[in-house]
Amino acid sequence: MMMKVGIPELDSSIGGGLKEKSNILVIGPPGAEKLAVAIKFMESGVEAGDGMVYITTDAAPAEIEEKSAKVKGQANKELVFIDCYSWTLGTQQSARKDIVVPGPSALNDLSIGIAQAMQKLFKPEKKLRVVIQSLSTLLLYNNPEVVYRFTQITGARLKSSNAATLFLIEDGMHDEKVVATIKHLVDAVIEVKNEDGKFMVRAPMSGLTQWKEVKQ
Amino acid sequence: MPYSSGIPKLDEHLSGGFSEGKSVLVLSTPGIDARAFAYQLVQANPKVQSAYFIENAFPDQVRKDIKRYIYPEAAFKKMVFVDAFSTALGLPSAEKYAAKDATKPKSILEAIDAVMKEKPGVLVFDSLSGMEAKYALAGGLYDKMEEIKKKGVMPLCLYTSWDEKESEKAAENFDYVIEVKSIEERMLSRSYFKVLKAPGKFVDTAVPFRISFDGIAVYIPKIIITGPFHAGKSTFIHKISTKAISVNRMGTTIALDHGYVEHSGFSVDLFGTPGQERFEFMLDILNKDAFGVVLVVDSTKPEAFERAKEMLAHVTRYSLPYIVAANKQDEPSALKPEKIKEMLGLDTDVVPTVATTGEGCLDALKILIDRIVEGGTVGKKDTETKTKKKNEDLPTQGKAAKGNGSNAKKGSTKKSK
Repeated sequence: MMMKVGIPELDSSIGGGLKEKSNILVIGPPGAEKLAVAIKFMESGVEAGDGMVYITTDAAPAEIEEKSAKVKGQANKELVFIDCYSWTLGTQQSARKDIVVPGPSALNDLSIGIAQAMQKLFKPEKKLRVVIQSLSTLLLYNNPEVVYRFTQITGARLKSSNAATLFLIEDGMHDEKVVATIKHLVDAVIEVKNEDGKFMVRAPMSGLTQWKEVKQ
Repeated sequence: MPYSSGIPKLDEHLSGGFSEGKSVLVLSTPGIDARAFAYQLVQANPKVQSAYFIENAFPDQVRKDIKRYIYPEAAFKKMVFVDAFSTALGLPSAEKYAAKDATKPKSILEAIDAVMKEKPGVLVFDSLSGMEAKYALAGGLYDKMEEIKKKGVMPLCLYTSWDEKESEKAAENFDYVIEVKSIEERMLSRSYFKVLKAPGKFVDTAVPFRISFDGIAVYIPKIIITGPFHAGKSTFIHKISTKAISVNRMGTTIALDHGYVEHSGFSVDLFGTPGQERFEFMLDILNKDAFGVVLVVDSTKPEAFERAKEMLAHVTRYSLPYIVAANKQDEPSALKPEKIKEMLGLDTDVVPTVATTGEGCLDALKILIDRIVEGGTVGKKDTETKTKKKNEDLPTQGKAAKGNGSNAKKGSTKKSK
């Protein structure tokens, strides 16, 4: 069974969706498209009744929820937020029930948070969807070697927990070599861009080699 | 007087605790909260001045973290922080001891010197792996550690093992090395610690533990022996146990079997589950502390295999490692383990056994324990093939998985020839 990304133009071109138990890199220049893919992926997860984990390093969980009422409705139910962002505000003041990680350089704490989220959501045979937004922040605060290992180990662990994971990364912000290495660590790549106001997508490793427009 | 680790079982394995002025490395799998080991030691030695060096979060995060536990507040009264985080972000530090510019290795070493004024007995480094990656001062840092050891300080370093080779290299610099691992990739809550290195006498038995509100608690792991009616579960347990009890009625176990065995560095409680439907509720109870499962099947009764699989599904829903014991191999009509493996369609080892004589039973347990222990190495299959296929220069973590595979093979084919 394939797991729908939730973007019909993309799903239909890559054999119905992503493989369950896979790690996917979502790469694109700064802009709203990567987040749009992540939100569609979560919305599609709500429809499918999957468990979901959203790890955010560069926005507050509330900001993500604002993008989609459907996603917001699942928070603390089938969706667990891991918040690596609010640490900048010092102590978290709100009454949110997110898992809080003390910053993007505390990678082990992030691993602990992911394990907690998995345990919270774990049910046999249940599929999981995970978004890590984004590797770019982790690369800003950590040595690239450590981020490779994190991606590799976390990816393998999530796969063994029946999860499909989107790793978001900014294009043009990191060394070519860094991006190339991370591409090697994942199973598939979804590329996005904005061209003259059009939301374009392709997935070269999954059969969609030409850019295709996403109608929103 | 040695410092108590705060964990009686660990002290016992270390013949009393950590000697003063020696260095300690706590080497843990990513995702395990090894800070608890530092807290546990500090609270157990409240009279000892301690310092906590942190470079990957604000010291307040640690203060908050400690409050999650029910340690008496007085236990941490003497602890001071060395803040090497705030200034890296360009923020002022509220701590008495802080690196002037935490992006500079020199400033890090100066901050360590500064806190020596407090004459600490223990200096915790929250993340040595983080420091190695950040400051490229591995050499300088180990020199500094030797220097502070001479002043009677015990450096206690937490190290997240993102990379096996690098963590092995780091371990060479320490007097004590405590390994902390999870038994299975998904279930990080099932973890064990083990002394890998100590200057004096030590025991290298693995000790399962749980981190809860009162700190680190050790327990005896359970292995569940399950299987259909009359498959030979009770006999299996009785043959390998040093002690065993079972409650029988007309030759069938009506409550449950219980045995105890020491093997491969583990002390294990064996729990047999009854084969009848009405006892299924017990499986859920047993599952909580379970480390692994042996599924015993009667090799002469393929008609019961479906039931066996159902029982297995029941106990492995928490993703426990398991193996199959193909029992009654001495019967002429017994199916070969290979055939049983095929019929069950399970991706695990099928070990031939004769529970009445005990043949193969210990092998089965040993293979399972190997699987449990080696299973803690994360990313084994994926990283291994990936690394080979695509990325030659990333070090692989496949070593343990390979060892595991060959072990398992040896065990399962040995007697089936």
